[in-house]
Amino acid sequence: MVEVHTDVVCTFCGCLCDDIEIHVEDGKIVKAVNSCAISRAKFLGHEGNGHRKVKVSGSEVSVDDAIKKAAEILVNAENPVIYGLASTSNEAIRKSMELAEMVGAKIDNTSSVCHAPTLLAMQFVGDPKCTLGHVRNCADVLIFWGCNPTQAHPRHFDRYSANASGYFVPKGKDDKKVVFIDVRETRSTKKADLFIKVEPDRDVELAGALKALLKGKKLSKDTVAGVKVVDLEKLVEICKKARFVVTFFGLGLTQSRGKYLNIQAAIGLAREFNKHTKFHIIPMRGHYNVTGANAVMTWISGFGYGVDYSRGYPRYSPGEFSAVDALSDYADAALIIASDPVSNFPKKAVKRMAEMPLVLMDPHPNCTSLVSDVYIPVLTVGIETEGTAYRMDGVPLYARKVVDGPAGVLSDEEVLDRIMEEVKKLQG
Amino acid sequence: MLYRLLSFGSDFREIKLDCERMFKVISKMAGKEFYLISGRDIKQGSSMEKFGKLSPEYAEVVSKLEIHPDDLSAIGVSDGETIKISSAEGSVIGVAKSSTNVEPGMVFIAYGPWSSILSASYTHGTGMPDYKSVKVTVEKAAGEKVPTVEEVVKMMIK
Repeated sequence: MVEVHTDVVCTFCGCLCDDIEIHVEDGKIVKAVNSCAISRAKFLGHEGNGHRKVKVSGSEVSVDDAIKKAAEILVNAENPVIYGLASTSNEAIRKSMELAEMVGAKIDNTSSVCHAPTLLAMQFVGDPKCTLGHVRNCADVLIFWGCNPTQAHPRHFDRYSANASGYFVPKGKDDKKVVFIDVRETRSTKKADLFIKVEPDRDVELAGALKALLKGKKLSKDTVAGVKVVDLEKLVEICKKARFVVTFFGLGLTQSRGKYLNIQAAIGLAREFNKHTKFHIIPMRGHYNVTGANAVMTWISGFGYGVDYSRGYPRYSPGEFSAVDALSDYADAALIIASDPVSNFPKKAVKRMAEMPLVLMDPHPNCTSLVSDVYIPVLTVGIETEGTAYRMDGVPLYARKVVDGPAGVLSDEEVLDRIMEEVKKLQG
Repeated sequence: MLYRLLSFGSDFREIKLDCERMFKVISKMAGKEFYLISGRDIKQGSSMEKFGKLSPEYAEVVSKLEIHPDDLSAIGVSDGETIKISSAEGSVIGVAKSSTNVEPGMVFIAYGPWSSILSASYTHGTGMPDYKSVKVTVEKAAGEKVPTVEEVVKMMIK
């Protein structure tokens, strides 16, 4: 008999779609409705390929032995790092913070290599977000800057933005204008009413030009940052005539030259835009709970990423306590939670991670498990276990359990609780 | 070549004092240096979830290098041919994919071990390395084997 679970929360990307319908037969997920291709693959493939085995130094062991080994690694280290967190629940992240404090670790989340520059920029200029519900119901002009939603947030257009219909935009895309700003054409930019191709690393100049035009200044050049000024003037006119403008921005701004300065320039436009129309700007958060990771770290320590507990109190220093820097330079052990830095970190950090005692907690083996000393498979949040996550706009959603996970596999919270028990025994 | 000479003239007026940009223009003309941009691809996400990060399906997505057809023909590479991409940090064999979605002088790759092996770890005090606009060179490597994910990880840690 098929059980149908409705309003299931998908735990892949920052869209955190909460309208998924999951069909379960004999305890197995057989169908996912309303899912994008990535979400469907996650729900239908959640069991993995039978490789979710607890291992220490490549040999299968009991989860208790692996947990003891993990605790030893953290207690014996002088500069341990705890990293990841963005693909697990807020409840697990809280426990990760507690563990970091117990062992005097650096603790960082994946925003470090994603939207940390956004956090830095917001510390300078503020955070003029609105909810995605607000966007869906009100936005008549959408600007996508340095992001590619059809590839990274596949349902964003249909559920929240370019194609979505809402209270004040009942005809959906026919009631909206969509603008793309990017260095290259993508499948997403093909949906644009106006596509602005900017030269790489020149977004700050573009933002400056937009600000000047919004202030009514005349520019002395015909092109800025490779863009014709007439196109920028078109964009300004579209926005001035709009009722509700929302800009979404992504890693095209956070990862290119200037980093937080690019975001500062983009967010800084809010003040000028709001003199003419309603304007919000929202970061396209990648992992489903990276927003939660920043929130939990902030409400516990005061800081959103790159935190150090080695002196017994939280200190914040991006570039010093952040994961890539610590792992590339001085860290001597690491606990990786719900992440794969060996796949995505620069070579120098990866080389050092392979040389240090390394523990991985993740639902499935990945590149990091190739070099980890301890691998503990855990339950997938939103499928095999439950927990709270924050959507890209900061709205909390509770991801429920839909099916049981493999026998003997624990949740991140349970593993972290047990590691802390072992740490307490070792610390006396 | 004539087009490049003519555009160099108008480029030159804008980059008088900017030595870095001058280097980029000269490199583009010489066909030697590219910008590497890494980002997401929907197949990267779905293959990762369906087959896992260590699978050949995932490797196929994250080893693909999108290059403009004019650049491919300048270096004598066909669509689908193996190429060697190198940066100051390292090099790796990938597969060329002809695409007019990228600008001449630009290479796009779905991020993963292939882009990580090319990335430097300096974060300018932000925590964020330079993942976009990485300077790379591209060479013919026809017939060379594309490594597996595990092999690329081993190359990074040796």
